[in-house]
Amino acid sequence: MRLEKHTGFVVYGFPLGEADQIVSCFTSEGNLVKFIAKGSRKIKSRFAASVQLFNLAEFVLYKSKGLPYLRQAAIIDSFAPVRRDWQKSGAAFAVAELCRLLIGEEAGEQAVFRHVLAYMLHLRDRDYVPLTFDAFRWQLAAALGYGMQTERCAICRQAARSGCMDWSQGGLVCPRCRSRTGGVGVDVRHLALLRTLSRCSFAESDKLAVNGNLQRHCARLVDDLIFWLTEGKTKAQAFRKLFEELRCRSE
Amino acid sequence: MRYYDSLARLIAQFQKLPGIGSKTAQRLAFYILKMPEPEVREFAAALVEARAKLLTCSVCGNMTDSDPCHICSDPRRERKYICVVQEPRDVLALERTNEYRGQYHVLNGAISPLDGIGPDELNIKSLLARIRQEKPEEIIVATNPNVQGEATAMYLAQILKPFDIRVTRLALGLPVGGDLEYADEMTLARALEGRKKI
Ligand SMILES: [Zn+2]
Ligand SMILES: [Zn+2]
Repeated sequence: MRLEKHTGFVVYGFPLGEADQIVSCFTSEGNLVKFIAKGSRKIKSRFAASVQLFNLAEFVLYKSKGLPYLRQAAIIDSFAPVRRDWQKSGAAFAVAELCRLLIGEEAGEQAVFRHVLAYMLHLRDRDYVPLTFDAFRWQLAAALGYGMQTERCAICRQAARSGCMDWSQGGLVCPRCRSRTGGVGVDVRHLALLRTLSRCSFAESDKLAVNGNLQRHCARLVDDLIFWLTEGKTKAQAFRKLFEELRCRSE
Repeated sequence: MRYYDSLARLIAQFQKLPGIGSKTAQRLAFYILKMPEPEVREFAAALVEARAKLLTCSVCGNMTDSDPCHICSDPRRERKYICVVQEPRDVLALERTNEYRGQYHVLNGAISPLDGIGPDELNIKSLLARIRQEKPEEIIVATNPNVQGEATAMYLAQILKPFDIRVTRLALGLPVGGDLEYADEMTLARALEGRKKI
């Protein structure tokens, strides 16, 4: 018999049997940990609340053969303001999905965990800002080792002010090298904005004054990067429009 | 077909059911083999008949063997209320209370971006059409008390705004029985928010 303790975000719950769930949790050690929460789909279960999506909680797991079982749970933060707000929920669904798709079981991505925690806290305390959601995702890719070139051509290494973004090449590809590759077109303004998103804090990106077209193009670029990173497996990112067009809160 | 082939086939069929692993499937298969033959025939016939006869109610989306279902066609049920639930089994649960005499509407799921399910995948268009036609006074949203159920409730509240109709949500709070000190903080917080005058 072995007990282990983890602190992490609940990023997915998959129904198992009558009332159980397989819960995926992104832990502070930077790993994706799966466990079985027995009876957690019953209304009166002592685990039902703690394994709710988006929760940050401490989980004590019992490990023998196969998946570990949840023994004890304590909620650290349930991000209630996120759950009650339609747009914030939309962003949090996307965050949860990225953790689930991009983090391996023994990934050890502690910096990514800190990045996700910082964004969830920001989302909890401030209004949802689309550009900041993109800053989060752009920086997440960098934290995972997919920081993209925005100043020099990823192929010929010459300085470039426009071209296209080809993620498999490592970012910007200049017009001369472009014939060899596909990708989304970028000009000097897009590249400048991407560079800003690489280094700004979430509070700073909330305040950036960027026109609608520029912001939308940037969102398309980051969407495209995420699509490439997740090998097209993302589902939640496609609902971005649905979440951004409605604005509502439950009491 | 050899004996073991037919047993393997039966086990494989049970394993298709949600939440049934290979061990449970084996146990169920051996249980069936020990049942008297008439009972097994009755069991198989019930499966086939249910599949052949059960359909979706064209009004509320509930599972039924007649269309419209017995609730939609019952003149004694109040037309003022439509209770919106995720699944047919939620209708059964609410019916067991014997407290509710209104209508139902079954969404067949909840908004769940992680599973690729949005409003278009749910039975929402027919709800709007129904509200336009039947003009109920109140929509009671009874989706599950989890993130997906909450998101669905928020979405419904928003798209029902133009109808100028009362939209309510089932109270979220303490389960009946047990001691307050054992309630988790999320449930307690919701119970505080939903407190009512006594
Ligand atoms: Zn080049
Ligand atoms: Zn019906």
